[in-house]
Amino acid sequence: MPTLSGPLLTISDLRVSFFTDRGEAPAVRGVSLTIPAGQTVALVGESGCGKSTVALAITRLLSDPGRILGGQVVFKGRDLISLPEPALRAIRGKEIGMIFQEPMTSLNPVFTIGEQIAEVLYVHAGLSKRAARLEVLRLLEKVGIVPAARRIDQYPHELSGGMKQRVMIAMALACQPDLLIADEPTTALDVTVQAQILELLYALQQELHMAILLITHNLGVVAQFAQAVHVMYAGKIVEQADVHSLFQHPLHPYTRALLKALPRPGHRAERLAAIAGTVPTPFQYPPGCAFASRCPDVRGHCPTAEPPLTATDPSHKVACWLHERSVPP
Amino acid sequence: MADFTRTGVLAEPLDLPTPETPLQEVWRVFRKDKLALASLGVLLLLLVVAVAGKVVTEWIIVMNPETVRLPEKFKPPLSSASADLLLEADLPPFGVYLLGTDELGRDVFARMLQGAFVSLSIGFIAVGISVLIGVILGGLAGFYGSVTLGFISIDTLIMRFTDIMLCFPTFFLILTVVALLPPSIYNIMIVIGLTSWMGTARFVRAEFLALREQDFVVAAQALGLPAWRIIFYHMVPNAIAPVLVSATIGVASAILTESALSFLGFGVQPPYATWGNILADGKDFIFDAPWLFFIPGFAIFTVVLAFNLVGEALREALNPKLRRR
Amino acid sequence: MWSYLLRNILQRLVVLVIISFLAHTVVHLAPGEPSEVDPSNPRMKAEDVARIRAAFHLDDPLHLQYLYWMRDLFTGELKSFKDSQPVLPKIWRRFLNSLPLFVCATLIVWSLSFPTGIHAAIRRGSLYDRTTTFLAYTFISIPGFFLSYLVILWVVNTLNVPVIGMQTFGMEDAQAVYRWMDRLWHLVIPSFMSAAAGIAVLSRYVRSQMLEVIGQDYIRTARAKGLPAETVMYRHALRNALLPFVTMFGFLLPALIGGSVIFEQIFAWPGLGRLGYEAILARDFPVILTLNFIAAALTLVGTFLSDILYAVVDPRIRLQ
Repeated sequence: MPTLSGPLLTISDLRVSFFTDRGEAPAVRGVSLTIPAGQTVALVGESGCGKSTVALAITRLLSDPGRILGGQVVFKGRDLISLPEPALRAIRGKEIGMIFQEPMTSLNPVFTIGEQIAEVLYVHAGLSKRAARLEVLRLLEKVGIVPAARRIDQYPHELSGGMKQRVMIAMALACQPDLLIADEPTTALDVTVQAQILELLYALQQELHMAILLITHNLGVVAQFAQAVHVMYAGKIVEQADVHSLFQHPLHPYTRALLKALPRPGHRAERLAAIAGTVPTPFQYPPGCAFASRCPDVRGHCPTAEPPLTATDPSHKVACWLHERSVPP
Repeated sequence: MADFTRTGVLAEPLDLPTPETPLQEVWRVFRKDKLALASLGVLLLLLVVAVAGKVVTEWIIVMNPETVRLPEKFKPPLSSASADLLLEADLPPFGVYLLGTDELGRDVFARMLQGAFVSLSIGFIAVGISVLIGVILGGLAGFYGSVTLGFISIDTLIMRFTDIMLCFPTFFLILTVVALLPPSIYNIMIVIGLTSWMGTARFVRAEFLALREQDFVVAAQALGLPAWRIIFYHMVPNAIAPVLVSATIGVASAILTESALSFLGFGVQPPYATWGNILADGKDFIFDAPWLFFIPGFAIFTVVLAFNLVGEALREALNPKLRRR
Repeated sequence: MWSYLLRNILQRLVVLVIISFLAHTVVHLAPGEPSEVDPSNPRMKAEDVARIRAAFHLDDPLHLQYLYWMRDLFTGELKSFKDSQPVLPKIWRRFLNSLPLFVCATLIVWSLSFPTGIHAAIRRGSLYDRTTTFLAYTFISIPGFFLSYLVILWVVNTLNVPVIGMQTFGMEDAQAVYRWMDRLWHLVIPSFMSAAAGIAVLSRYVRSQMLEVIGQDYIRTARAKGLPAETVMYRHALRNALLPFVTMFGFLLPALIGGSVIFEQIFAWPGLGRLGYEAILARDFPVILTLNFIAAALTLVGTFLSDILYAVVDPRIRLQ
């Protein structure tokens, strides 16, 4: 695999809003991140913070009330936002693979899993039916679906959730993409199956030297697999760091609250430290820091002035007035 | 380390929008469809006209739809009455036949006013009957479905019965019954009601089956609430959405059925006027007096269209899945 | 699998028997005598009335009449009250007349509804979608005979399309080619009018099914795989959207028979609907009951075929 001179994927100031009949709901408000080749970058945040929207926006898979308002998504030197549709389609499934949160509904119920995986090979690799079938068998075995020959002609409803997710992985990796976007791949699965799927992803990543954008709200998973972490809150990135720095020296109050909220084995009869308050509604984001209403260290200017994302360290950035040198007027 | 379980001190309180009630939400989505709003307006107007019509033609007779004025037959709309040929009492208000006269010299406007009320009431009562039957049967099937009476469960029994009713060619059945029974407006209403409940029953059964598994029903049962209370206070309001939609569309369909029955000669009999039988009578005079055909036809079309549009908009507004957000 | 089929068929037979019984009871309980034996009919003498009543078992208890009806029906001996002609051949002849109308109307409905509905769903909110939606509502809301008369008025004066009956008077002597063309020409307007409401309803339903399917996760997966837009729509979405329509086939028939009463009356088409109408007017019980019975039987056959077809096309059902 040729090494790239720069990062594989660079997102710059991505902005996405949903235009509903209740008004505009900005879901992604200027998100920037980079994904180096072969690394796992995690995008963490609670439900509704916009992380799934970022994932869908990368390959322009957003559906209707959602629209990309601005920003750049540069993948291997090309901006995906402005790329014409046919060129984008050539990249989807071939150079960028994607797996989703709900394996139960992400597979077409009327086609066999073999047909659905083979489709990717027909379209992107130009394989014949026979060659594709052989390749599909090989892929099924690689993702741990055995006996492959029996499963290949089965329909999605005949498979369990974990197996369906393996099929999704096989589909996404069939053409050996450079980037895999995994949107909460294990959230809908049982805990034991979660571990298996993650192990599988890790093994495949090592083998294919593939970058993974891992979207999740599970910090444990992040700690195990990611090299870099971006924490999202209310449509913005509030902290980004390599995984060690984030867990050892969390800077943003939200990150610290998240880490504090993790239940710790061995400590019984403690109240779980929940974060007080609720996420502000996207229809009415405050002009300043969106976390201000829940922040224990809030200052007077926080609700009205937006803190910029600045580096306290070469590999650690945070958007918080607590860590800014200059205080806003 | 700071205690994260306490809320921080804010410079000023945040202004959160109050969440809207389900009813407000439905109205908000409904309002967006301008055509549906216009149709709702038409229907309200129709209600007013129908009630006013009943008052004006039957209770305080300002216009009598039954007055036969043979010398005045086939007068086009907006023609003035010949005051010299008629008795004082037979003159139309303002001396003008707003919508003309028919083959017996009757004032079409008066007949349309009377017909409005009759057509609407046929629609509403027929749908009322069908909704009642549908909700009861569907509710029983959905809630008590697994209870068995001997070798057959209530659910299967009711559903088979529904399937049987669906196998009859509905219009043919209505026609048969209406033709064989003594002609009466009540028979028509009842028969239409008795043959159109099947859709509602299926909806209600489906909703109840889904609702029965939901936690709030189990919780209500755990609290010891009696079954009828669970059904009527808790489950029915949740299941009501598709019923409301199909009821609205059902009124439209009942009005159309009544007009078809009148066309075949089995509708409401004279002297009662419904828009259906005015239209049916009018078809014989298409060339001589086209207004006798076009006016009731257009009126039925407008009203039925309004009901359909309102019903569809209601369906969009009530169903979160179908909405475009 | 065979046990499932057998059980299904048996259930339907039971339903058919129940339907026939219900229909029989309803018809016989209604007041009014068949016109032949109506006491007020001046043409019939008292002894003739008695004779006819005996021949048609009209004074026997209800369940005996039912048995007589069933026996006569299946032995082909059933006679009409109106003119004592055998019922089954009568129905058959009229059925053959109605058949081209049914077939044409069905073809028109199904071939126009799907492209319209699918296209409207894919281009949701566009001018095409809004226009077809409005047209659909118009056709649903307009009384069938009102629209027919309007069309007749327009068509007869401007386009010279025939609108009465199945063929032009005097055409029986013409050559076969001309005869057939004449018949086809006569079919046009009635079938379109019969089809109008059906197209409107079905295309709306197709549209809403398509929309629901397009919103599903697996469509997003298909797009994420980089498949071309046509493949996503016409292979992945359509296959799923079409599933429910297979089940609708069975219910086509009662709708057609019911609707044909009106349209055959308007266009003077000597078909089943008109036969039913005339039978009702004359209180011709055997004809009425037999028509109902046949319609119900055809519906049951239709729904049975739909069930089988559905199991064939939906893999989720197959394994049960």
